[in-house]
Amino acid sequence: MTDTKDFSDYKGVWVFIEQQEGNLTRTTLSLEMLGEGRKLADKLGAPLTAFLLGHNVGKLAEELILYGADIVLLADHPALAEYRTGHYTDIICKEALERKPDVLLVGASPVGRDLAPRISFRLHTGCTADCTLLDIDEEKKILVSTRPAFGGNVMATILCPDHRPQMSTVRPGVMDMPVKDTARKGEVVTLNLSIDEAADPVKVLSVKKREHSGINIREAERVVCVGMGAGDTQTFARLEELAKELDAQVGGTRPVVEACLITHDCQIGQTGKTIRPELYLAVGVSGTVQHTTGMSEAKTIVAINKDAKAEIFNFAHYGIVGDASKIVPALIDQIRKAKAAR
Amino acid sequence: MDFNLSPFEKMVQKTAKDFCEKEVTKIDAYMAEHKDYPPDLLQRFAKARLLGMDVPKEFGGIGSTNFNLILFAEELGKTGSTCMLPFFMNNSVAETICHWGTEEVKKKFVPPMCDGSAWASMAFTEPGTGSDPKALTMVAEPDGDDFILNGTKRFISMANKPGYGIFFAKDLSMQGAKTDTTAFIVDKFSPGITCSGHYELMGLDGADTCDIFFKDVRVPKANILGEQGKGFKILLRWIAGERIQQAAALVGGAQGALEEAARYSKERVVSGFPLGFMQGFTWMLAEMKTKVDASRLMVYNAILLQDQKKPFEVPSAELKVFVVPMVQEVCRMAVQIHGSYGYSKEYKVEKLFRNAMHGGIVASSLEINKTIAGMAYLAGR
Amino acid sequence: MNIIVCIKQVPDVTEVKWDENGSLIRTGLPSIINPNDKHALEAALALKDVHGGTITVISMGPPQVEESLREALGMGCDRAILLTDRKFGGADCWATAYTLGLAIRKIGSFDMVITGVEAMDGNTAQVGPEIADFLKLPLCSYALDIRCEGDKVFVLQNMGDMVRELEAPLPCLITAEKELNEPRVAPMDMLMEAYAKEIEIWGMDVLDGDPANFGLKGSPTRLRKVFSPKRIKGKVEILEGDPAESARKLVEKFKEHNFI
Repeated sequence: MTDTKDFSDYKGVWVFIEQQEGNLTRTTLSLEMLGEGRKLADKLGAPLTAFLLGHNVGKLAEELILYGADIVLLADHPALAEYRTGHYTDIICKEALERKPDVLLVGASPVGRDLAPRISFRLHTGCTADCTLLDIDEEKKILVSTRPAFGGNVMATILCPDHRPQMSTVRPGVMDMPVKDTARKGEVVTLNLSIDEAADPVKVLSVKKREHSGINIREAERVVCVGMGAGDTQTFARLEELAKELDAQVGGTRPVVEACLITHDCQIGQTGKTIRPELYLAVGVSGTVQHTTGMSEAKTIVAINKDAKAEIFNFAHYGIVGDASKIVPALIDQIRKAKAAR
Repeated sequence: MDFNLSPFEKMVQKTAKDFCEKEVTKIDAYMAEHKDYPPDLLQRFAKARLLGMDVPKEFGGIGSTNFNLILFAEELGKTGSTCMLPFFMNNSVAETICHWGTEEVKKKFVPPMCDGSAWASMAFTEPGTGSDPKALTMVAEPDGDDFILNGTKRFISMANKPGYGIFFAKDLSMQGAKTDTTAFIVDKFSPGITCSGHYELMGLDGADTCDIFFKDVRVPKANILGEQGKGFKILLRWIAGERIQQAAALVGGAQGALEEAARYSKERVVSGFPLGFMQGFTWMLAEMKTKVDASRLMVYNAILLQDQKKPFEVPSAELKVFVVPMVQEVCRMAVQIHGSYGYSKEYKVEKLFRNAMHGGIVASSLEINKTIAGMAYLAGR
Repeated sequence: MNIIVCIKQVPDVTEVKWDENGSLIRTGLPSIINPNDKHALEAALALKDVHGGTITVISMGPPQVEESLREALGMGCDRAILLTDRKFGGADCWATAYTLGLAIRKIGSFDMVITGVEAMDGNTAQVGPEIADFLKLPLCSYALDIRCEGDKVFVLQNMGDMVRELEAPLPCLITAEKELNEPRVAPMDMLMEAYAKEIEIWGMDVLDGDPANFGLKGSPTRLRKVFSPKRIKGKVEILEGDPAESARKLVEKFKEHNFI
């Protein structure tokens, strides 16, 4: 093994801030990154730097300080209005080589997953992808990253002990959001840029909204499955609402398909499809073997059924015994409350 | 049972499974809706270079072996898909023409069967006869450089699809000779040819098996396959090969039924135990598996003889004698294991059972093969 | 067009099974070509169908990776190179990209490198972009569509809820999404030829690299531990209370599992 190198001149936690048209993108990813970055910076006793690239994003830079950044490195230039794989990598690497951050975090969005590996290669350092948990080792004061692997079937904890900056990309929707503090003070450093267009030959010709074609229940990460116990029109309508709140697809058991509530391509079970989503919520499903063979390998199974002895509870991780027509609306309510509280 | 396949043969199996997953599922979806083959069926096979498998490259084939063909046949049979019929027909008719045809005949008719532009057919069966050449009523009358064909053929697969068929007729110019059956290669869309609608069969859903009617159909002399009057030999040789392919598909169907039954036996719980652990069912599964493995061995034996260009007519007949009853029984047991579900059209074993029933009838009957095999054994052949 | 495709052989993680203790059973899994890489192969083959040229497929791994290279040749690739050496073992993304990058450099002239977006077992999606940076190739990641016109390529890039149209000069590196195409079935004649072809075997000595940068030694990241997330089957946790209360408890569980 290598002998411990001296990285004492590497200081600070950097967070890449992703923006689109001057906004912090449609998701809360960049803020989550700041929140997590703040926690790690505090544990390390180091400053938190937000790296913001774009065009006419000065106002945003100020905002980032209120969300926890001590320093904002601002790269503002017309050529950076859209994400540019070459330019962004060049700018970040140049500053990182000069300023020597200890930790560099990037959100694992499509942009982040394009950018982070390029930076890590050029800086000859390690990058742990798609982390769901970050921490600082108390003794060694190094970054400890945990991520799913093997198709999500195991968790791996990874270090980058001998290279700097220690890099990780962070899975969206996992970390906590910071609270805005209007009294916070910090420094915005506007970088001097000389961008040579020829340095990034990839041109962005257009940006359009993506149209999703069709449902493929096999690909759905989250599924709400309707059984006959929840097949009445009212509950069914609320189940569709619930699915929307959870960003889930709706599937059904065979009797529900026969009753024409769900199309056959969303039927789950022996004569339908076998699926392995991250979350499977079975509502009013009794759990006959014909059905359970289609979903028993789902990662997290939740069952709601009136009958405490229903077979489905032998497959579920969590269960609620009760009337779906009452529980589903309550669940929608609670989810909305939880989302609003963030 | 480990059949000691080479890495290449294992890859062929993997590719066959891939083909079934990617292409056959689409084909079956079309057939379920339209009750007929998709018009681009042959192109899908041709793209994967599955037509003309044992035809030399110079005629558009790939010069592979029949063994590789039956590795595919088994996978196709497992899906229960009717599309195995045109797959067999195009391959075997192309090979037959290659074997018996003159250079001109080969050059004209074989490449389109290999590139998927022509649907092949083999037409001997008539309303009155399925196997007796002396009873043929389709006649071929000489007329200058042509023959005029009149008559009816029955239960002809792909009869109504564009392409070429080998039609067996009583050759009126050979009257007095010992044998008078001549094989003609006919463009199925020739003037004077009409077809009936599909027969709806017990199994092989969507198969377009029809009657085909010839009224004064003009066929050039140059289209005669092999020797005039000696056409029956061609049919017999074709059937000997076809039987092996069919048997391979039957074994595939039985394997599919076996796997479905095994899966069900593990999932279905009765009195707290999975069905498969009840002795009666464990025994059934043991019988089924050994029947399938033994049948497969016989198929491999026959096909290897064919590839080695050794005589294979009798082994191929013996195949029918053994394999057909074996796979039909395996499929029946699979239905039985599934109980009421096995009797329902929603479960796969029901289809596999119906498909298996064609084994004793199509491409020479079980009984004829018993006669062939028995007589050969007595004669010491 | 001369195209290089990088593929990885992975265990088929969709077939993964668990033992009675809830531990993953990793042995005995069939090995397959990483699904995204099959889309990369198909993209190269489709370009070859239109523009002609040759496709070289490369892969880094132990000797049994040869089977996957044969499968790729069977689909229609022309040349296959296996990068295998004990010293390559234990490589993380950086060292893997370094090794593949050196091999690509050694192959010499090419118009395009195509890789899959991510591997089914590692799920990092890093190696493709790292190779691009190493070889200073323009990078078009997450390709939903590829179209070549002269010495330029137009790529539709999947950015989640947005799609970007990119234009890049050749040579460049593209990573293939699964929506890009439907991989072809290996045609029988190509399959037969594939087993007659020779697969080139390259070890560390063939590549012009710094020995310190290969394999485990050359990997900046270090695995501390691997563990299975808790899966207690058959021991359902019933959440008690009236509808509002039990729903609230369930939402807490959802938050714990990051579903909200």
